[in-house]
Amino acid sequence: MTFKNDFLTALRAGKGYHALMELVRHHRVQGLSVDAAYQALHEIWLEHGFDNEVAEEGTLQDTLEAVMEKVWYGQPVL
Amino acid sequence: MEGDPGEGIYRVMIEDRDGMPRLGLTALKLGVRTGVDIVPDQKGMVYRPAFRPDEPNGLSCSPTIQDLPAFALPVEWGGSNPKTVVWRIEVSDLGAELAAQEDTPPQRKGRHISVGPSGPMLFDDYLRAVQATRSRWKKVTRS
Repeated sequence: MTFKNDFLTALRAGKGYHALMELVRHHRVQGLSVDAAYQALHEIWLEHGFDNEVAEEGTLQDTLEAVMEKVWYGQPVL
Repeated sequence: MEGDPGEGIYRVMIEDRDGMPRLGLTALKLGVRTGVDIVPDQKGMVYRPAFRPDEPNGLSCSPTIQDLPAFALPVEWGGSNPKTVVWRIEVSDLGAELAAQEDTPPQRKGRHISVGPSGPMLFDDYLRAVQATRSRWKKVTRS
């Protein structure tokens, strides 16, 4: 599976921040760049229309944005 | 970029009805999330971080507007978010309970500054200190 599909499946399954960051780490170790990881997350964010929503705590959008913020800033560090 | 005030401490947040950053525990509000931004110990204490790039050291900020996350950055600053505002705070306005330092990892899209606790304190006091800065964040607009 691609990172985007993998991540989307996990997100929709209700996986939390730490599980999703571990998924990012797994794909990064396999060679996924920070740019490619962030881009995939940004696409998911746009496809869900989250650019027009304000995230509430504990929602899927909140979890996704927490991961996006940390990936943008280079987390997880390999 | 026109209107860019240069290096400082910047964060993108939702503007509340009173014209200040909205308080809350999400990526685009003013607050810190346990386990995401900082990890309290078993007694609920947090400590001044060593600002290592691979650790959650506190509230995420950037030293320039261009370093802020693209999903968060307002449209007027070249980002993709129509609801957010860029805010800046001066180091001197953080207060004695908070400390800021750059902790950018080697591979990243944007440079990172963490605003962490300046010394040992309860997590609740750290959160209170962060949210007490609310009135000291200044909006940065291009016009």
